[in-house]
Amino acid sequence: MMSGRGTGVALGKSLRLSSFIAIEDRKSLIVELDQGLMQGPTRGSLDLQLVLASLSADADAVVLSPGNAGRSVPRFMGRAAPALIVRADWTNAFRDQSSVLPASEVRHAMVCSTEDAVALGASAVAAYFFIGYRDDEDEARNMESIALLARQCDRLGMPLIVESVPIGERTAGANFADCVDLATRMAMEAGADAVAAPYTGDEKTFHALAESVGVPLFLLYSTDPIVEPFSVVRSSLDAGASGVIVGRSLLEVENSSETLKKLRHIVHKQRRER
Amino acid sequence: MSKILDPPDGRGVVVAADHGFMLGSIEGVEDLEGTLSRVVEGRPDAILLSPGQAARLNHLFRGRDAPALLVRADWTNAFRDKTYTLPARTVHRRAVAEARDAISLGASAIVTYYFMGHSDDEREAQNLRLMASFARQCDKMGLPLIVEPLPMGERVTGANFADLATAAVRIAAEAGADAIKAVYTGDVETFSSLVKAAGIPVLILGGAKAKTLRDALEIVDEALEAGAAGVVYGRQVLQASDPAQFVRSVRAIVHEGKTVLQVLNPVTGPVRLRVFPERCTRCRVCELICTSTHGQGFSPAAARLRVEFLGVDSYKPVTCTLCGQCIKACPTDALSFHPELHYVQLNPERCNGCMDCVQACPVKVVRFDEQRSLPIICDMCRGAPSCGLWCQPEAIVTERQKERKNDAA
Amino acid sequence: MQLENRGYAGAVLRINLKLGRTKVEQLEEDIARLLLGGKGLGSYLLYKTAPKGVDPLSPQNPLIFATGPLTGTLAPSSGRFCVVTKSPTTGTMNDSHCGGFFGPELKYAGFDAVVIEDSSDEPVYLLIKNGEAELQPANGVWGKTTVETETTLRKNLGEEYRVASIGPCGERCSPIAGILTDMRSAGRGGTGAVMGSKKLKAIAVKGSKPVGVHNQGKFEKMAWIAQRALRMNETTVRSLPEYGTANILMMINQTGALPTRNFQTGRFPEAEKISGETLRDTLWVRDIACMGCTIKCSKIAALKAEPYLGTKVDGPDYETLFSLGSNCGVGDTEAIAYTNHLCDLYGMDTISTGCIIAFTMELYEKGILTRKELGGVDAKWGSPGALVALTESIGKGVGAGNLLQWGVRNMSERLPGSEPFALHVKGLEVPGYEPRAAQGMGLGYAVSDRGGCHLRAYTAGTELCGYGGGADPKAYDQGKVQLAIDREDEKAVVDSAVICFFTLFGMRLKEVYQMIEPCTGFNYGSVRELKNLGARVVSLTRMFNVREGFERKDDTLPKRFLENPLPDGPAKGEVVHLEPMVQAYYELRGWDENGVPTSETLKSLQIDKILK
Repeated sequence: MMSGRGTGVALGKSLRLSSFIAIEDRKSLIVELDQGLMQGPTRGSLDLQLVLASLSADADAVVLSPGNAGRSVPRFMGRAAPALIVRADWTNAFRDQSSVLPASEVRHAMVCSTEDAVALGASAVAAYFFIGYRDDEDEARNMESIALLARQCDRLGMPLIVESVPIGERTAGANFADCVDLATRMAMEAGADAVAAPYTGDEKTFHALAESVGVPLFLLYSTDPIVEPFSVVRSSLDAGASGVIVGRSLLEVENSSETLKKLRHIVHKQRRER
Repeated sequence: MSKILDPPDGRGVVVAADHGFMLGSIEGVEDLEGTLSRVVEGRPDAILLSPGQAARLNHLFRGRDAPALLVRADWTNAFRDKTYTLPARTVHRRAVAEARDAISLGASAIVTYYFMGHSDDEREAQNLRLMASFARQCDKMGLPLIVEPLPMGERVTGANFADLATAAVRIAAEAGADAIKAVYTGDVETFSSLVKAAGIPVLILGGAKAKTLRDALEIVDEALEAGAAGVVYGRQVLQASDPAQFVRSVRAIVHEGKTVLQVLNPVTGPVRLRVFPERCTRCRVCELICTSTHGQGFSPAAARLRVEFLGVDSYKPVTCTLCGQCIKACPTDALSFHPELHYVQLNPERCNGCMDCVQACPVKVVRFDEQRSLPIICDMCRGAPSCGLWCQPEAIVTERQKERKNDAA
Repeated sequence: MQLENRGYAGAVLRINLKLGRTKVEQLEEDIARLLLGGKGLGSYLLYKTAPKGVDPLSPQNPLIFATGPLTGTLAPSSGRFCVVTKSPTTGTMNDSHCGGFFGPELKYAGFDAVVIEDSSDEPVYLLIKNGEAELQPANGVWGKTTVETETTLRKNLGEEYRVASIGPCGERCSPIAGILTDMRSAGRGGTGAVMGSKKLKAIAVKGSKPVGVHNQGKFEKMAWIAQRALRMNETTVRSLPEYGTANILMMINQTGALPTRNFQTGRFPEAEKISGETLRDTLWVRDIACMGCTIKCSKIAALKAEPYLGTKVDGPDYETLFSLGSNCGVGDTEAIAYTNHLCDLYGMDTISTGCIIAFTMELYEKGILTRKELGGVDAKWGSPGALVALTESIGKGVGAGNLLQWGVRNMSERLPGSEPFALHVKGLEVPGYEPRAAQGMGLGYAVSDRGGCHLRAYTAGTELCGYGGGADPKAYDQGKVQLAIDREDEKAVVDSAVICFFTLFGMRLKEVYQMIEPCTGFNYGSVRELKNLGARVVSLTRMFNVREGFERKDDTLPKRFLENPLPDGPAKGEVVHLEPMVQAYYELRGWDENGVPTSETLKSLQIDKILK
């Protein structure tokens, strides 16, 4: 995974990654609780501290916006606590028709630097990379943002997780799996230490992705409510995913903490058939 | 620069492996670590990687014999044309790393693009600013800057492409580039002008995958003749069945002064033509090159082979099969097999113009030159058949003749 | 100075069909240097031979077959020729280009061009063999399809003969009739009608004169380098060879530019069913090429569905998949391929045929045409049965064909209320790119020298498929106009050298320039000078059209494109912003506000010398 690195910077990244990617099985279960930054208050995250309390035990890491990271420091103290991942960017991409102010054009912006994340005690930084913008200039700007973030992370030994997501009608057709591949590959080459991507649709393509991307690949399951039998989660783990990131998908089910426990069991106990 | 362009001959063989950054995991870069391990065996002088891969695959560059590391410092969607996923609609380019990042990765140089030809002049200015800023960073850090100038944009036409390429090269040199990666213009003459305009070392870009090894090597050879300092090959190497061998072939031409033919080691000795009828597209290039090679201009009516039309969707080349019937039929011993190369040869002085050979040929590829009263017979181009070389669908292929017990004649 | 052994045969054959007399003229070197051959030479011969205001179907309209210096050599894809005449469809000049083997054979027979004048009283065919030409009676083949005609003549004369012929459609002088040879066609602009008006059924040619070039060694090397350039480009080594011109169909649909149901929208829901990928998997059995070509864009389709079983046809190509496919709402590839076959047999242009049917289907939908008037055909959108029935009626000139075979403009003049749906420019039906989704194509159609044609200022590749770095399809600024002019000039050069346009998808004008010099010995000095030759040819053809009475008001588009916003796709809401583009086009070409080349322009392009 990170073979051959001998510099101090690489050691820092290794150390921090190992705080939420279990050494025994090289897997991780990550919960995103940063929806407020992007969508305003959402069901399931109104009282963030309550939610954090109920989910912390079963999450390996939690993603928070910079504001909430600062306010939630006690939750991350102690050896049993999950790792903190700071969301470094903002987007309106998830403000669909059900939102109070639906987005007409997808936009993306950076909201904090790696240094800020370090000061907050983060173990990693997360950012989105979208492809499929109507205007290609937005894609170029998004690439520039994550690349510069990657350079900062390199200098400070901070792992960077890039959630690579195809959006919009340009990517919605038969080319979706190829778009996932394109987005994750570009993110990795730009310097991401791990990438997260939506399910490509079938095990074969997801497996090919996991093999070629060369860094840990997480399944990004953050929209549709996540319910049993969790077939997509199982398939992606079988196909080589290093774990799962859940967000809204978890918060919108009846009993989130029950569901998270079940997911944890699958992620960390799942025996690979290969 | 000396780690890339080796001092004894000032030339370099570089492998570019940053395609994944701009195009996703295309063929050849899916298992980049695996592929590059094989490439390294061929001992390229340098390998170009994106910042992410440069960090991940850093171990490949350890050791005295290892290649030098070049880091791609900018990203663009310019090459995502309609044949790729999510084709780009407008061209954009952004910086993704600085000189100091490359240095901390142990790189020997950074590589960036420079695009020229947008109809929006502000974009051109932006392009120049970006290149200039890289040049200043590199100067400060003592890191070489390799610029890849490309005509790109709405104002590029077929007529102005070569001139634009040369202008962009010169501008890059003036802005502070230490070396240039340039698209080979296609011939020695125009490329010499480009090299002269640069005034700094120029490496040629392999560009789209050359269909044959011969094409790839010919281009290297021509570029060197035009004054290039070396070559950057990307997909040809990464997608080759034997990447190390490809690199070795290119090194032979660049560093060891071998000729293309020496490296290709084509079929020598007695040859024959093998026909694959299902591949024939009836383009008849074989007929055209036949008469051209024999100094007869272009005249399919006088060719020593022909394409036979068997139906709307069925064609095949008909060539000399070395059956020797013409030799047997000749009453004056004017025809014989060449002693070493075993092709049919004509002694014009002995020919009496009887045309028995024309009648005797079972596939009717012997023609007759009325003016000179001599037969026109296939001589396998004396050992290097042009038809076999020029047939692009490979419906006609040159093969070595099998061992013979004794002469057929 | 002699032009032989400089690519040229050095001779132009003139034949009078009434008197049966032939005359061989020397090709003038000045003309060759200024215009090369093909389109350039043909347009010059047309200007000089046709009297002003000539009726295209009258004996005084010459029919010219022209090759160029590169024809029949090793230059890539040089197996082509063009037919130049005054078009009965539009009244403008018309150069219609065609592949196969006919062009090279004409050169090997000793002629760079053939000028056919007057007309015969009885059906004849022209027999050309090694410098000699004579007329032969054609009663035995008059009335036969093009394929039967070609097969019969080659059986009687010998298989080495190459034959170009018209079908029944041309015999009836229908303005959509073309000339076919070896499954390729000089389709557009009614060349077949002119040939039919002369009672000339076919031309059979055979030759064995070698074509020499000025510097054989250098030419061979440059031809190899040109072929190498084609080998190293994705489009010319993989995409065109594998899918033919259908390679762009999905992309054009994606960009909302695939005309559907008579250009009502730019997106066809069944596009995937008629894409190159689908055809490759289902119908195509063989790739074939014209002479000297490694791109092999032609495909033989072997039809399997019951009514068409056993048919083999060269195609369908992109334009046919649009005109007889999406534009009629038809997603049935076998029906499209079969109607392509019918068009080949009867000798008519697939683009115009399909557009006529699309027009008919819209009129049927709107109640302007009834089943009775269509000979009982239920001309519903998307109906393969209607497609085939209507195509057959046009080919035979019966039933609905009585009306339809005369083309969209003619039909619209006879059918009150039909004009808004009649999509043609100067009488030539509009081809397969929605101009509201690619402004450059709108300009191209409007100013083209032969009416609604995509093969003059072909900007679609750049605007919609990203070739050459791409361009914003919605832009209609000076940059877009310059792009159109550059494309038009380059096309005029390859049309005059005569090599196939598709080579320019892989190589550039530079490679053409580097072959022309060692071929002809003409030293143009720079690629720019060669491009200038293209500009010269474009202004020359303009002068012909001006002479024949065309003005600025004729450089326009149907109202559908100028006033009705496109309802869907990435270019939703767009109309063609034609006026500013035409104005800029005239300025950049050095023409006045009425589109007439100024005297300075004529002087600087040396057209004044050519036309004096």
